[in-house]
Amino acid sequence: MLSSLTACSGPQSTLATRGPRAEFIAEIWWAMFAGAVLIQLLVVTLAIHAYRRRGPLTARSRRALIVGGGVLLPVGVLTALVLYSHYLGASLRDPIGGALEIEVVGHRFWWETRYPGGVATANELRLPVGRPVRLALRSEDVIHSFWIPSLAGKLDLIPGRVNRMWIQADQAGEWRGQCAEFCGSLHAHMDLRVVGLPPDEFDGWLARQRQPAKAPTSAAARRGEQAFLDHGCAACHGIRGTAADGRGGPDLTHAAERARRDLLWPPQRPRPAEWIVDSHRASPQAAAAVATLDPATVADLARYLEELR
Amino acid sequence: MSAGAERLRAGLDRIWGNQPGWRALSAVNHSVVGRRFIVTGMVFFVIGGLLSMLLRTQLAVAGNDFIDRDTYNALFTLHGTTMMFLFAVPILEGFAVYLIPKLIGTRDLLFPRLGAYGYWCYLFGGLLLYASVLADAMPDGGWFMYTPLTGPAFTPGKSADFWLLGVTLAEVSAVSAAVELVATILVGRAPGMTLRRMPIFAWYMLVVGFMILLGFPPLILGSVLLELERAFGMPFYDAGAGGDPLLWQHLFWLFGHPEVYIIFLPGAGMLATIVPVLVQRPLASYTWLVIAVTATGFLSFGLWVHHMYATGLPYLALSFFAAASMAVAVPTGIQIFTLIATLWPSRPKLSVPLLYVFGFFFIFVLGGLTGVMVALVPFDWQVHDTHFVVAHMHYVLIGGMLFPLFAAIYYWLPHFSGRLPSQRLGYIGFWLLFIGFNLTFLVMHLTGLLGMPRRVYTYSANLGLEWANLVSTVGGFVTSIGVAAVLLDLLLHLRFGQVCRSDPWKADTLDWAMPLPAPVYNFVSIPRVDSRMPLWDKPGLTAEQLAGDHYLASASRGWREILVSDPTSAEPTQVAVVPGNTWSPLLLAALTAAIFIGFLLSAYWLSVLALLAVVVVAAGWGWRRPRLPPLVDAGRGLTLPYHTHHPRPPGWWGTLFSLLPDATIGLSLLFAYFYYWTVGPGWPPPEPVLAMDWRVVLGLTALVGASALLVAARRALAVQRVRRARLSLALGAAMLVLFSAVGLVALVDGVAASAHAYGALVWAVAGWLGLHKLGCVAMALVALPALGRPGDEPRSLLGIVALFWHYSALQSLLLLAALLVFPRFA
Repeated sequence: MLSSLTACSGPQSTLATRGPRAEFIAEIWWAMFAGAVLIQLLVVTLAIHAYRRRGPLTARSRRALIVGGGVLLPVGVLTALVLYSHYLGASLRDPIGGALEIEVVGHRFWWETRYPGGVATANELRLPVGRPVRLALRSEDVIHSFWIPSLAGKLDLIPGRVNRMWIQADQAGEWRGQCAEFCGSLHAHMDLRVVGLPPDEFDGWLARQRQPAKAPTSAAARRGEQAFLDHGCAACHGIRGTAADGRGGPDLTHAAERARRDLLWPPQRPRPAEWIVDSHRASPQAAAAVATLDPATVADLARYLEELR
Repeated sequence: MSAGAERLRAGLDRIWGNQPGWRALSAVNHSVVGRRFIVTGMVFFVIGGLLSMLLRTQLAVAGNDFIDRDTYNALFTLHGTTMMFLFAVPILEGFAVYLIPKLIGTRDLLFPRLGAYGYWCYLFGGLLLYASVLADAMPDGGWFMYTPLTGPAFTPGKSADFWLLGVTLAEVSAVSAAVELVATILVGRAPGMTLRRMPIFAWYMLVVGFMILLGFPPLILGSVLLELERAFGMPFYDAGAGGDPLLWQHLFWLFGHPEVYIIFLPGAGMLATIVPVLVQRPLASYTWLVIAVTATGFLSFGLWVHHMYATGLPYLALSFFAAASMAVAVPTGIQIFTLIATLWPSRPKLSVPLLYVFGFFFIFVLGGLTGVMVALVPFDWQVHDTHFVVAHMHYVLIGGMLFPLFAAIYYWLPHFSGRLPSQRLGYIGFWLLFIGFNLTFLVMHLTGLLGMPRRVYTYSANLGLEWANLVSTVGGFVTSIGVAAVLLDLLLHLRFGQVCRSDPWKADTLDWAMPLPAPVYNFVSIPRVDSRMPLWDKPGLTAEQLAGDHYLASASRGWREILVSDPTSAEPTQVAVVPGNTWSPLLLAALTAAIFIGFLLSAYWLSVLALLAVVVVAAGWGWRRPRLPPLVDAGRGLTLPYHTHHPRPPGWWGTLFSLLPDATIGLSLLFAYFYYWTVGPGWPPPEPVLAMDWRVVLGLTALVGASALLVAARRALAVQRVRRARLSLALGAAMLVLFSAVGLVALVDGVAASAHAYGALVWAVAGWLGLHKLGCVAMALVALPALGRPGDEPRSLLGIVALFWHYSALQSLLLLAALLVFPRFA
């Protein structure tokens, strides 16, 4: 009820929950919030009352106050809290089967998501509604933290390790996730779009993603494809079905279908040519390489990317 | 006052006085050093506060471009680092350095030069950190400096080195101040002040001192390893070469969590000192408080993992740390309710310190409650690294440290200046601070819940975060005006404050048993104490000590004398002569800083030279021992030996407590080693077994032989065979050189330091042991000529050497067993 207040909504709110794991935590939060308000009132009232009162306190009531407030109160409250969260958490066992496996790789400063069948996208995560999803998290450089507040708490991506968690979206919609461990200069911009899709739509999307890239149709796009290979873009980017097989940067096989394609906001959806320049700001070397391209080439490249559906 | 007492005070002023003008920099007296810590800490507080205003201005609206992202990242790094390392810890230690000798009834700390050295290290560390601004290389990896972001691959250049070296220097300062506080509290108390009669603040600082001695070393080691990785490519934290970035987090939070209590407990101790005086009644329960403080100290070392819930550790391990984190609510609750119970029976005037006490209740309790929330693992997974935690942490630190600190400043102000502050400006400052603070941080809990992570220089407009951030920024500015009002009050009172020549509070503790502002020697005569509240139980005590009726009421001998007493019974055992004004602490600190600057400039020859110079100057402190007669009349019919004639002089205690941080560094190395073996990616290493050839065996034999020779030297000395003792000691030192030159060299022979974390660790252990042997040999060189010196008690000096030698031999054997023996069974 409270969480439906506008103050708590928002695409990245821990209180506007869309999945069981976030819901469980939000429920604990509201219980703890109520308890904290009560205890805060109690202690502050006691302190003020203590100050305003006249007449001495007997040794016995002094001890009762210290033991009651300092020992019994915290022990009682904490025991209740632990039992309560345990009781709620008991319903959250890991899913037994039927989970979809998705690999999430952290890069400075973008997210790579890899699906079964060799599909890789960037800065977006599509989920089938109502189906548990098992995530394998790893990092290619520094520590990042994977966090989609509407669905679950966060878990770090740590070089040299693979961390695992599961999430589930209970309804269709679009939310936002963001890197929660400081990872350097552009940390504030390392966010990802999360899209919950009805299962059949999700399957259709995944099937389309598994296809190799379509050959460009327009002349400009064909020039763009050539420019892509000639100017070293393929050193970092892969496009399945072409000679481009770079692994350092985002896979662009279906680049035009991305839910999120800008690196810096605003604007939320820049034009493709701006996108090319803008998205390379994350890496100084790549930005320098892009800066050498003349505007006509950038326009051709943009046309080419626009056709990668 | 009689003419005799007048002459006595003039004499003490002459002996204890500081030099005028710029030569005052040679002062080592605890009052001066404490004041310097406090004033420097306030300057860094203002700098850190101004940084936070820049941060809040940038976050006032979404998509702001007031500060660019890289500058923002540097500014929040500096803000956190400054507040934690250059404000909170030093200013509290400064208060303790100033107050502890006065509270426990002595004239100075046991090791004045160490205190002054600590201050200079702190100042140089702060200057080194801020030199990064001038060098255009501000550290920008966060105050937590997580690897591998701060490693050589992702932070090239010198910015991270400025942080590592500056902060480590400030930590050296914290540790040296802790050594001297712990030693002084234990053996420097006034006659009759048993542990049960000790002022509550001394209990708090005793626990905090031990916490610093055990809590800071893991970070010192972690920083040194990171600096070695950055300077020489030794891959301690590089997952690609057998290192582990999580090791940094363990070492950092092994320090970082006790750190929170290291900051909170002195504040709570100040409140427990102030509140009884304000209400003119004793503490509701001294015993409960002592138990609670000690329990907090122990528990604080079992909580560090609650900063690492999101790193993917097993849930069972997390549950253990969650339980420990919640358990700490009990001793904290006891402290709060003891204060409330103390406050209960009376209705004191609502003075400025009391206002801050109420501010503490409101803010700190709320911070504690959110602390319980974030201790709950699933909830922390949501709010970890969000603005919810930023809010929580400021409630705890500002409520638990800043408000008590301001209460203490207002309470002890007459002590420093002999004047009272203005009531009105004090009230205005408090209310601005209180309202501004809550305006800034209360709403910030919601900002975090709505999904705003920490350490982002901007946020998107469509997240619903704008109004909350704007409120926080406005609140931040109100807080700043409050701080400005308080600072203005403090400055104005120096000139316009009402003059106050004696205790304005009717306090119970010895710190007020002196005229104001406090004289440099504190006490004309060291008072005998026979209760916990000496000034309440014996109102004439102040006059008695001023008249010189108690101990050491003499200025005729011309040197600075203090009493050293038994740790439990507090009966005097000896009279120690402490050093007066000297430049050597400044010199030693400058040389210590030069070690760090050498690293910063990649001029490692400078570091090596400076290190050798540090050893020489530090050894010089041992050389220049005063020549004292065996016995002295301590007054009131008590005759005591001078410390140079006592088998357990202060130096022995100082060495003992210095071994604690040293041992903790050794154990942290061991922790790193076994941590790698058990969970490190890329372990076991490709070549895990070190050769146990004849050179290693020879080295080990020499190590054990050196300790045996020292035992022989002490036996020989006990029967006055000085030459034989000297020969044994010299032979022992030669054995240690043999151990290092043959054994340690054989250990690292053929082990690559940069290929794998294993090799890097072997080198680190060898270097650590080598440093110790250097220290052992230097101590032997100091002791050798002193052994035959007439009119001196040589056993006391050799006892100190023995303490360090045997300890260091044990540590060597432990670490070498881990390296040489363990892999054969692993």
